[in-house]
Amino acid sequence: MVDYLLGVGILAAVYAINALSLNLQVGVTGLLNFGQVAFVGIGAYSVAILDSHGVHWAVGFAVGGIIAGVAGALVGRLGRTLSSDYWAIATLALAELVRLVALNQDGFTGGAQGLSAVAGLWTNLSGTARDTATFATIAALLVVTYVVARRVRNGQYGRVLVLIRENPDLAASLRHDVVSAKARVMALSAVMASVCGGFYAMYISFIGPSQLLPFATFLVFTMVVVGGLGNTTGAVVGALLITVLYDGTRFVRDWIDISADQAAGIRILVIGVVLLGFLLVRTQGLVPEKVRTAHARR
Amino acid sequence: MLVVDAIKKHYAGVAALDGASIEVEPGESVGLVGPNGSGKSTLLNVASGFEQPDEGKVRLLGNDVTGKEPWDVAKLGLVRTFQHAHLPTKMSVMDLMLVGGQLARGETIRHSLFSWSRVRDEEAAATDKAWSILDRIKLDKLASHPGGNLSGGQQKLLSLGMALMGDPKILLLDEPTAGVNPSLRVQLAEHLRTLQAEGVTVLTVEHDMRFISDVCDRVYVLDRGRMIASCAPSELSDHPEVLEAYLGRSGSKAVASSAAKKENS
Amino acid sequence: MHLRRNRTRALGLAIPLVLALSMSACGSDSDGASTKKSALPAANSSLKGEIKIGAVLPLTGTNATIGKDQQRGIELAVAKINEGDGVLGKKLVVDIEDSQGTADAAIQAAKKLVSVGKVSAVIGEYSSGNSIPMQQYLQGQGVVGVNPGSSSIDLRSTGELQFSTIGLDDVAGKFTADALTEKGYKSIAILAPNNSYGTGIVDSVSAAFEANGGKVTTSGLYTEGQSDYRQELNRLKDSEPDAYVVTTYGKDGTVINKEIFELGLTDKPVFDIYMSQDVPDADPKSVEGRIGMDVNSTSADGQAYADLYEQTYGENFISSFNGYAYDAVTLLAEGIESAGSADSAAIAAALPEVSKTYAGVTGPVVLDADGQRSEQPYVIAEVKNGEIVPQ
Repeated sequence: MVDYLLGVGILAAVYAINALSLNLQVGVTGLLNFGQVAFVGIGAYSVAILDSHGVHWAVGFAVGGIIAGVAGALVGRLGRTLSSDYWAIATLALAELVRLVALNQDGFTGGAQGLSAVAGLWTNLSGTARDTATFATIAALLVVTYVVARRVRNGQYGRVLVLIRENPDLAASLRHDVVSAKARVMALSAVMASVCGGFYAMYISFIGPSQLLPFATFLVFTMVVVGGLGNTTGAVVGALLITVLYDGTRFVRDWIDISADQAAGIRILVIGVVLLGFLLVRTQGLVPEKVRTAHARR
Repeated sequence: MLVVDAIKKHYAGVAALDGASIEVEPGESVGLVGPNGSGKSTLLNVASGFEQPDEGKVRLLGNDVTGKEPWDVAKLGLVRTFQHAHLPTKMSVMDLMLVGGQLARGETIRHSLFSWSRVRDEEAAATDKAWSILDRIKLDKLASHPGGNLSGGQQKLLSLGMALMGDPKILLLDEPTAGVNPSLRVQLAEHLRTLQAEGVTVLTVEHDMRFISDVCDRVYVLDRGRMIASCAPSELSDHPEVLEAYLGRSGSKAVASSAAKKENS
Repeated sequence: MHLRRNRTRALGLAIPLVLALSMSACGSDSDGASTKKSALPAANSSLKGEIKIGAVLPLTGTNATIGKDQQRGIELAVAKINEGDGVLGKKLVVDIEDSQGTADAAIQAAKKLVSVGKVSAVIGEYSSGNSIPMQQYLQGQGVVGVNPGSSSIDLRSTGELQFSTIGLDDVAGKFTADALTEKGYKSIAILAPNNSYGTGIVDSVSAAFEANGGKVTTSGLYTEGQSDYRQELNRLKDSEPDAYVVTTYGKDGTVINKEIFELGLTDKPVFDIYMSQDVPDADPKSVEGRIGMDVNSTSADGQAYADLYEQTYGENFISSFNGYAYDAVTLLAEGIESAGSADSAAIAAALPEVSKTYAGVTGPVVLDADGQRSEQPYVIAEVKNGEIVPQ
């Protein structure tokens, strides 16, 4: 049971970083990025491809972060010419493009087979010790990401982003370069997502194009919406809850006697119902975005 | 201070502005009036960078700002307000004041993450400034309220306060009294006169002629994309075509009565 | 310029998209593996106690059809064993978990089976990208793994406790290439789906055929889920090979077979790898005279198995993978019997010996030194009057 729980914990932490990244884009700034999985994939593939050529993972993370950051900034600037709905569709198309490149550039990305035998984490340990060390690593990464997200959200930059979400013209009239602010938040979020992708590739020791399907993005959207759109803590709560639900539905068969494939179908139904429920009944999520009270007078 | 020079702007063949020009000297309080559809909002948008003209130039403090991004124009000292404030409900009055301020370090990611103590000092200074402006416009008791929950008039006041956080050189106000109750209108007029005395240049687009006469030294009249008059508010009654055609009977009455008041006092 | 973002409106975009994706993720075909035409035989009442092993299959995700078929193979094997003497006098139970078609879920599934269910052997999966990481995990835990569906040669090196009942790409590719060479074809054009299965086939067949001195004029990996494949098929046609080599399944298979006929590719020989995956769903006219290879289901055991499958599920094989899963279960059962216990190390030691005399429904499953199937006796068959008939 411990191994299993550690496994769930590791997955939850990976998703929490992903959710923090998406929350900065969608929740705080109102940028509907339907292509989030592409940033995660860039991180994962950078680490995997460089590792397959014998390059140290630290370089892989750095390269992945740079590529993702640049991609994020460019996509953020694209919002200049496209209205928000069209931009959302464009991000979906771009993510599909990344997946198709991964699928078809065999020589480079391993094609449909993907890249396996990616260097693992904590290879000097084994069993529960290894899982514990891995969990500690991702938990530390999560804490760092959380602090970064909070600092950004609670400072002036966060105020500018929320204002851009609510009334971009007002933001522009108050000296704020709306295009640059969006590009920078996209770049920062992309780097966060690429780190979580690189870690994931090392944990599973494998990356393939089937992990870049749009469903992965929608799963993270579910986490952010359920947790509380716009709330940093909410993103982590949502990730934890949905990961537990998503994998925990395996245990349904221990209580109800149904066949394996029916249980598997229930998992998807549960997620769909939970997301719809929140969208209809409690759009603000579990931990709603708060209006911060004024600093006290000095 | 601000020169708007022969601006032309069309939308689908219809000329919204057809060679409109205005000049505002430093320290002046100028009004811009005209009937609906005369192009006042378009002119304001062009002057502040929210729209690009087809022809003509805009100069601010001698710099050519034609076609610049609205935030770049704002950085040069021109802040405009909006006819409908639409303040967010997810931001408090204090947060909105702060976002109007110059918190250069806090706006960058690098400093937000690595220079936390200097960012905090910056915030503290901005907060002090925000409190003093809130006191001045008497919204201090509402500092923690969501901005979008304030009444229409209060939101207009707050918009002014937010603009002041950036120490603007020139304010462009888009129908500041629209939807505002009479007592608040009086307060607004006082604030604008005080600001003018402090050296801020003001350009006000308005329909309310009494407000214009209270606040402005000079008025431009815009009709169908062109200036048809430029004079002191009290002199508008000397242009009968202006009065009758563009201000309607209630407006001409207001002007006539204030002109009469001036003669009697 | 007043752009006001309307968040609820945009989120409204998300709802139908989520629903659409959820529906598509539920797999393409209608019934679950649990829908049966006739019930499975009941267990022998004299069996006391249980022996539990695990299985990780893609019950949801893009390969749900294959996963369903693998589940059927497992169900049939378990029923047959328990109808008889069970394993070590006990009932055999195979605990099946969903891999969701992703590597991380496959590992989580394996973790649940190993650390919660405490099984000593796990069967799975289908996609090499999922089987390899899962077997690496199982090896690290000292648990036996049996792969019934992946064919990447990287599976040779996942560990000493890891086995396969399906021939890896090198075996299948060699068989196909030899068959083609024997028929006198000097050049071929290959078509396969653009996934790990298809790319594995293309690579192994090409390598073996070229080693035989033949030439691959072109190979096409088609993107799954399209409504038209004429572009890919015309490209194959334009390369003018002596014969076409095709492998396909599901709805894509139906479209491809129809278009192969319509575009006149049937003027040349068409060799179908794993015919039972796509021929039964095709219009008989379009596949008449086609030759190909398939899993050996015509041995004494094999035909009986095919009949049993049809009786139980009311249809022919929906993929070629149910038999390997069946063999994985029965082979493991024999290994446990021979070892006298369900301990992983003991099973792993027993399996190679047991396999030497094991006759599976997919033919003799003799395991080589790496624990992989050393030969795969496929059958060469042709389509006559809509039926697959061995040559």
